[in-house]
Amino acid sequence: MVLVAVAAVGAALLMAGAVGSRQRAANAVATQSGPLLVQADELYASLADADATAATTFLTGGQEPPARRRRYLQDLRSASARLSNLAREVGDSSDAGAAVSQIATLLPVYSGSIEAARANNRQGFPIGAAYLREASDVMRGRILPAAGRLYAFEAQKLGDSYKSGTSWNGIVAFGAGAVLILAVLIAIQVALARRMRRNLNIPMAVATVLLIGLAAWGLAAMATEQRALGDAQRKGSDSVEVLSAARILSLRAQADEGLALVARGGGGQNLAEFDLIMRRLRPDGGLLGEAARLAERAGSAEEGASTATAFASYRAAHGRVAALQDQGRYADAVRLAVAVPGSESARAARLDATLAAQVAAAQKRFERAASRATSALSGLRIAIILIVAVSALLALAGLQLRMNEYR
Amino acid sequence: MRRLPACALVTTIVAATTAVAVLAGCGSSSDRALRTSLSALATPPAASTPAAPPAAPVRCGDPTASLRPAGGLPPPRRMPAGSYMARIQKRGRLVAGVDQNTLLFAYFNPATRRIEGFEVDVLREVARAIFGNPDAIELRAVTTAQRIPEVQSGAVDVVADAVTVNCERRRLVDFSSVYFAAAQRVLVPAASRARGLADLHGRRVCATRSSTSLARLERAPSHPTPYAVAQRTDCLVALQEGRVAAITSDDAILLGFKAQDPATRIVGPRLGDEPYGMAIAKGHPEFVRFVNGVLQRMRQDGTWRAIHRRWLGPFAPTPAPPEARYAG
Repeated sequence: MVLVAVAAVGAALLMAGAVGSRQRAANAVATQSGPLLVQADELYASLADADATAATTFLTGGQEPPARRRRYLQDLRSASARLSNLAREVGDSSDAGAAVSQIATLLPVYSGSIEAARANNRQGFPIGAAYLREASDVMRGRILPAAGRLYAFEAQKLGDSYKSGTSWNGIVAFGAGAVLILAVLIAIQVALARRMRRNLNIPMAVATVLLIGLAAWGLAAMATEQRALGDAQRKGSDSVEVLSAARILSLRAQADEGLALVARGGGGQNLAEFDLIMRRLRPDGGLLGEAARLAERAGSAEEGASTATAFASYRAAHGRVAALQDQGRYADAVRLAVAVPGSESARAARLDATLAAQVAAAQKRFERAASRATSALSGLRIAIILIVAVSALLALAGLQLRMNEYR
Repeated sequence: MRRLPACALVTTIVAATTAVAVLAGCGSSSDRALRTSLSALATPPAASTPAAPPAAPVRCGDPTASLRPAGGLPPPRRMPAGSYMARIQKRGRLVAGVDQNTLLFAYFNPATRRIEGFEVDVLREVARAIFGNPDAIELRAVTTAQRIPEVQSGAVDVVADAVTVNCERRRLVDFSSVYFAAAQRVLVPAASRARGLADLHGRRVCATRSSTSLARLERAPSHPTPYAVAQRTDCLVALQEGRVAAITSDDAILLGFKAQDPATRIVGPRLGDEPYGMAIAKGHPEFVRFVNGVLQRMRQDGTWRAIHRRWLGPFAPTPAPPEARYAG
């Protein structure tokens, strides 16, 4: 009797504990790490887009085009909103909290410098370009790295949640618990059958059947959850991570191009960085190639083709603008970069939109798979506790029956 | 009967282990995408080109003495064969390095979308002398630290960027005759009580990297704290943001700052003469003589005064053009 009780308690603990930890991990993926990664990614992208937009806004000189101004303000609003969401979730103490407060402190400094650039530019003063340079230095030297640290932190947490949601320990513990109680029950039934010469003890048999059913359900549920989390990662968040990195790098390249055009010959460093980023991104062997591979794995092979086309078109446009810059025809270079239809900035916008759409699609795949993972395990913990308790009572009742008969 | 418990146990264990093996085989997590994306985002910025090292102080007689122009100027589009001007003519345009942030001297005017200013007009006269057309010119922006290396490397034919002629720089490049005589002074906010470098002991004073102003600032007896910036206008930003107490530079440049920020004042004695010459790479003496010939013509036929009046007229009376001095 004591043996049954001990085995029951032990099994319940093991199984419920295993399922509980899996469930927490799946919940973390679906409701915390996943969404927070999305917030951190969109914060990073908004800031990088603000940098790129501001750098190209003053190219045409004088008053900035209203559409660019609206886009810049939208970027700042979006960044502020994401920042306050993240601040709520992340708290103060960790590295992530430090990154959040650094961004919150520096963003007003950045926007202040941009407004000073704007005011001076309207009056035709060259100091406007100096304020723009200062703003860009703050953004690239301090704000964007902090956003990158935040993003890395959230991505790491997501990775940890995946690991604990798909680790061996859960299944082994569950299996061990099931084996424990089943072994005890079967051993007792067999021992009873030997002694009492009656093979079937109905309550204990029912208990055994219930437990076998529970074990099967539990293992199947954990298998589903594991597969769903695997899908969430392979078809969802992996693509989100790689595509977001590609998008942010392409925004940085756009800002480099803008700053080089503003510098009119003094932007050699920016152009060198542009080329470096293009090499990092290229569809054959670079980051976009990796994204295409992931898209194929997720069943959307055409995504890779469309980014490759957009990228090639952007690169070709840049080549033409760079050729004009080399010849010193800056006015023409600026016109080709921003003003004409099919301009470089139009193609950059198309590449950006393509990447953003693919990120959104990958996020949807992630959300679907993650919610499959959480729903697979729903109700299982309570079921374990109830069924093990019921089975233990049945087993005890069965034993009691035998004991009474014996007396 | 004995075998039954053992059989049952073994079967259960085997079934459970198989399930474990099957499940663990699928859906394990991998952080490859995470690592790829993070390493891509950590792409370091491209390395910046190093600034030219400061030249050792030397003596060389009169640094403003340039090469005498050779008689008359050749007619436009008929440059002597084998000369540097012929090379420019063949290219179709003069490539000149200028600043684009020095109001009045060389700055990008957003209203006209062109770089304009006193120095631009002087360079256009050189282009007019070569091509007959002042628009046959390509203006490249250069930073103070890079302007001498760009002339040396041949990336530009000539630089006119408020370059003060001195013996240190003469070791690196040739100079035309002086086309503007400036003097180093100090700019402070209007509310400041400082009246010169003597009042700025221990305070931060801004100057452009690699400029003669910075060199003099570092040697100033009142020991202000030098604050160097890459481009000229960054000093005005630093002053407006309160990071520095004063700016020291040529009065020509300071006039441009004052035009952008009326709440400032130019103070103090002349800290040194700053004669501006156009920088030309060594090895082309015929081009130096040619440019000096253009400048001489401008001094004599009133063009210099007209250009000065156009740009600096509202701020200072138009003086006589600076005299040319020749040695050879």
